[in-house]
Amino acid sequence: MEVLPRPRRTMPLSGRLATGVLAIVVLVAVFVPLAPLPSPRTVDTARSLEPPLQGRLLEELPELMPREGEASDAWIERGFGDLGLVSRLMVQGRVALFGRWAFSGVLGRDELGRDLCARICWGARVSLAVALVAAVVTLLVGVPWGAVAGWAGGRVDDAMMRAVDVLNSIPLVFLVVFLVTVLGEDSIRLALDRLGIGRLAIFFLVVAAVSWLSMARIVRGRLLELRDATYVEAARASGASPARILLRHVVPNLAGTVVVTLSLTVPRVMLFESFLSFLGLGVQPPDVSWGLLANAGLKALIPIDPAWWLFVFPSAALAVTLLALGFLGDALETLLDPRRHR
Amino acid sequence: MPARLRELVPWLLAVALLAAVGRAFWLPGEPPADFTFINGTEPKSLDPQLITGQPEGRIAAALFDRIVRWHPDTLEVMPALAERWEVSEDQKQYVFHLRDAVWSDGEPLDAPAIVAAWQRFLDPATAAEYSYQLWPVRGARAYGVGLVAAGEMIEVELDERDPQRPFARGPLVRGQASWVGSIANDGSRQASDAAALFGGSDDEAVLVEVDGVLYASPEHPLVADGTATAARAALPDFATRVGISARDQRTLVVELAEPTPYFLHVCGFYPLAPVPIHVIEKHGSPNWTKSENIVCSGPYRLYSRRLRDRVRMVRNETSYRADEVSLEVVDALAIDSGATALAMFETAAVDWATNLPPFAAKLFIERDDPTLRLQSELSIGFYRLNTTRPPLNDPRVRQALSQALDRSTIVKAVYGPGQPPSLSFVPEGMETATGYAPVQTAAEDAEEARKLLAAAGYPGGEGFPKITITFNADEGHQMMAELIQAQWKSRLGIDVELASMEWGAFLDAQSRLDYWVARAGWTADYVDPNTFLDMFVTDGANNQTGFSSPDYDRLIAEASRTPAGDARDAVFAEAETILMEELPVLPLFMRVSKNLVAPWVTSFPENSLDIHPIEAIQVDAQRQSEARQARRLRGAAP
Amino acid sequence: MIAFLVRRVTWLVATLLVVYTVTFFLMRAVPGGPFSSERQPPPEIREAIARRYKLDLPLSQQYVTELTRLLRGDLGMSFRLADYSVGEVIAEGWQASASLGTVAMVLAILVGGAAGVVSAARPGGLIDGAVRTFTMVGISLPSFALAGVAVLLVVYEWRLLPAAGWGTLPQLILPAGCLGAVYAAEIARLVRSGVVEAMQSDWVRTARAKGASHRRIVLHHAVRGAVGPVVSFLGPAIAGILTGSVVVEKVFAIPGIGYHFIEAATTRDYTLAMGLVLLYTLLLGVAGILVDLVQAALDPRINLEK
Repeated sequence: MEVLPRPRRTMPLSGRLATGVLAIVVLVAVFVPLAPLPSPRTVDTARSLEPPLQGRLLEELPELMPREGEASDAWIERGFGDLGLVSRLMVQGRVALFGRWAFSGVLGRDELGRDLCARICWGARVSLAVALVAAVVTLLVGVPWGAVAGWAGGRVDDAMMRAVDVLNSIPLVFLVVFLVTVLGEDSIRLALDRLGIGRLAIFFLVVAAVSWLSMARIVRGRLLELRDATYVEAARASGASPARILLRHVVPNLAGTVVVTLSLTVPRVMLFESFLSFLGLGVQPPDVSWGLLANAGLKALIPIDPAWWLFVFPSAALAVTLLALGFLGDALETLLDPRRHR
Repeated sequence: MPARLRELVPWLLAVALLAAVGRAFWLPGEPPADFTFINGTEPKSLDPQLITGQPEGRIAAALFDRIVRWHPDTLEVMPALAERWEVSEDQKQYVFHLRDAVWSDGEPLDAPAIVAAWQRFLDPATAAEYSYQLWPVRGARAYGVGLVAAGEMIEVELDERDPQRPFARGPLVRGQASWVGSIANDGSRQASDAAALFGGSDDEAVLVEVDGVLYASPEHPLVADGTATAARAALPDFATRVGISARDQRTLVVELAEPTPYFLHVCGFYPLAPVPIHVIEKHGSPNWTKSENIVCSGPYRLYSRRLRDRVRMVRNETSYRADEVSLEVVDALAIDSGATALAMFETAAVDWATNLPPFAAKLFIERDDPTLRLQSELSIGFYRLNTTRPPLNDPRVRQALSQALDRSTIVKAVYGPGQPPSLSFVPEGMETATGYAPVQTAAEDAEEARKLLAAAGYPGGEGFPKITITFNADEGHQMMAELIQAQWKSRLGIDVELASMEWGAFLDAQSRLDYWVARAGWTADYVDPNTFLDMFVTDGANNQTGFSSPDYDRLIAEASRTPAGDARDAVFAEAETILMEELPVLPLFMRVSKNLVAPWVTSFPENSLDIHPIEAIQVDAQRQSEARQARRLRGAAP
Repeated sequence: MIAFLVRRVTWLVATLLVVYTVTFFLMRAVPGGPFSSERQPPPEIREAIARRYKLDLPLSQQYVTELTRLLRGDLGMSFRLADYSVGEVIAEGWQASASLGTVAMVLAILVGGAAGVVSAARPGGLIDGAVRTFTMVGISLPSFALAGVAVLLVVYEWRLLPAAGWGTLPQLILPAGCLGAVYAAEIARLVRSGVVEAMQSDWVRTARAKGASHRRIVLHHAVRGAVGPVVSFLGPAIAGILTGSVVVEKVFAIPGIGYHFIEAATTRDYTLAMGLVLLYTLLLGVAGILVDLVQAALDPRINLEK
């Protein structure tokens, strides 16, 4: 006789492992400026296409200090790009802690001689940031949109959902090409720059702009169900105020759905980012993201002497993170969505 | 839902599924061709007059013969449709004696046919992008622009269609234009000096009067009430004012406005290939290019075309060169992904690939792989400098930017060994081809550069505004820009930003002069220094730098009037000296063409314009079929 | 049901109109145009080109002209593929896309469905765990990664299949496999959860009480539960697969319409881009309607009028 799984109260093992993996990824992304790694941008054409674990693995790097005639901080921008205050402090802290020593060439180098491990770690920042911005926008825009549509019903619901349908119908490509090129226009870019929105931020917004749609639809569907659910009827019959109904019955149930859907949206957004990189519309160098690295690595998979490490490691990073998110989503669904028995 | 319908649905689904699957497996396979090559992007059109790109050019050159052609190795002018020709003393008149050629449908390809074809090429209604290549011909430019003025001989094409030839030009009324202008609603006339066609709103719409009859475009209100006759276009009279005419069936006479020494060479350029007007008149454009309608004159004719798949060409038996052709069936594949091209090449699915991933290119060069054919092209990679924006409006700054570079390091890092740096705008290969020795800009010297920058007011780079290097999104351009950015920073102390743009937006920004420094490239259209140097005349369409020098303009004009020889070379040299002193452009490197050619290709002509006429290619069919069977390019082991 | 159809079709038409407007202005607001080229012809020629293609008319006039033309069913000529009308481009590309998409989807349904059913038959078991992991990996990999690895192994290492191209059966296998793999993973998950849920429903319990064998229960009753979500998923997925197979089309050089989508947008081929966008919207809308109809047919509880 087969065993039917019972609804669980604690997170299954897969979920806990997944959370652990994700925690590691996030820690890496946040604290990489402190890590004793080379800079992700320093070009060293002499060591182009070095396979992993070759050369001196631990060495002092000349790029981690100012060159003569330069401002004392210029080497940070040269090696790491335009960093925020905290990251900048972390880099300076790193130099204080480790000096100019670094583990270099652990995962190999790309055709410009840039260290792959550093690029993957710094790329994590961008990839996770894309996901984060998309998640935030989805929460701030998608949830209220769907909730209002579902709760109000009737004409309002129709209109709001039609808007979502239309946006869904325009192939993402056009939206993205449009936004990427217009917002990349010199005049607009300068204006946004003054507002503190760099090119990367623009890219994040583009991706976020298209990711809130399915959340809106799912929230709306759930709200329709909840509205007509028996216990809500009962609460209404017993005279509870709409606000109380909302807080005690709707929101907790909705929260589960939202969290689960969010855990599905994030991987989709990360995959979308790599798809855009495939088309050449994604994150642009010198910024680096996993999608960019995976695509560059794909180009390195030529039949003779493939630089396999350029493809395998970034793809593995991406796949492992997405897998973890997937397992986490599954586990959350088990916990939070009581209707679905696993 | 009605119950009956509900029961039917699963069956309907099953049937639909079976039908779909059945249809899906009905695949349009074809027997393989004798020679398959990767042509890059899908050709924009098969009509040689409407194209400007290299992939299109390869096909057009195989399908349509020209008056003269270029030798596959030396690029010297050779007879083609014209067996021989005479050039007048003043080098302004060419008389071509044509051979007895026919189109693939048997119709004669004679002088009147060529005249009609070139008229279509220049006709503004055709909007042929390369039509300006024929503008050295007397009256061609005026015709191409379509300006008519009172007192001139013009031709008016009436708005009448012959139902038998629905796409032919309407009947022509030829005469002297007695009046040209517009007529306001109240009937008052406003004459204008000259006007193009009939466009514009009602008030500005232009009418012409010839022999007392008023002509206007068919939508004009005066046509509706009968005052004016409907006409499709009014152009300078081709027969009398444009220097292209047929003296008899086999003699074509071309008169130039100035002695243009490179004109004969341009006649071998694919946009000038005659097109079959009789077919175009029957089927119209673009339907005449469909495989069931098209008629060709070259060593090959079109067999079939499937979008984004292949263009299949077969040997044209009616061509006088049919016997020279060894490959019966040739496929041109439209594949623009370098990685896929390489995959197909390495599995012996194609015999020649014109594009490959830059990654692989460097690797192949380093390993001296025999399948990679490198050929230095008459093509230059350079940066444009916007001379209208400070600080780039100061030539000392531009010179400093140029002299501070170490071009060989940059080019080697980006493209690997084999791509030479260049200090002149006209590539060095021009000297071997024409004897013209290009003029170089000042030698690279970081110290000198710093002095120049200081003299311009930015010692050590202080106070230098932040400028941007703009380029279209591409790893190679990115790398180059980064390296140049690093060199300018370390040698001049200036800060430079990078901006990667999408292709369309990038071209747009350049043409609007909305940039500081922009990456660019230029390949010769024909073998003559003029193709490089006439770009930079004031307001030239391909100038796009704001550079303007009356001396330069004068010299370029003078060169086009001077017959080929040392005197002309000297004029060009003077012009290029101005260019290399003013430096509206930073020459960087000479481009090298890269082609992957399979080992069983026994004859593969190479030249500095990267042109490889298909009719001159030969293969060892035995080795080819063995490799195809094994799906392996390189012997038994990879 | 008639009322339902009328309502949905009306909305579809309205959506098409809105999509047309948005796309029209989107395309023209982006810098560059269909004739941007590295070699600029002299300004007179550029004007002649603008005049010939009516690009010099005011925007509002172009909008109306194009709309009237579309309503007549004429999608216009492609700018970039000058020899072809938009209809011809779509017709030619459609064949390859439909072939590829159908085979990929059928594979996905067969493989994914089977995997889902087998895995749900014994939830928590070994096979279930394996299938669940595989499907997780399947939806976690970017499609180009899968395609890249497939090419490296199957084409280069083992020389089993041709590298790219279209027209013969061997050329169909690898692209269809890569395209179908991701969908197979999704379908497997949907089928599994649908079957597991159905197995706990009342009527399955009744069947078990009546003594039906485990296999019969799973195959005859529980699978019914999976069909619903899968059909829901298939609707937009079919529209998506036909246009979203860009990666596979690019890597394996398949002459489908997915690639045209990207090309038309990046080369500013106004007419082709518009034609494709409208086609995509139409497909999505029709698929949505069909899905609702099929679901209503399969599940008598669903009331379309609601």
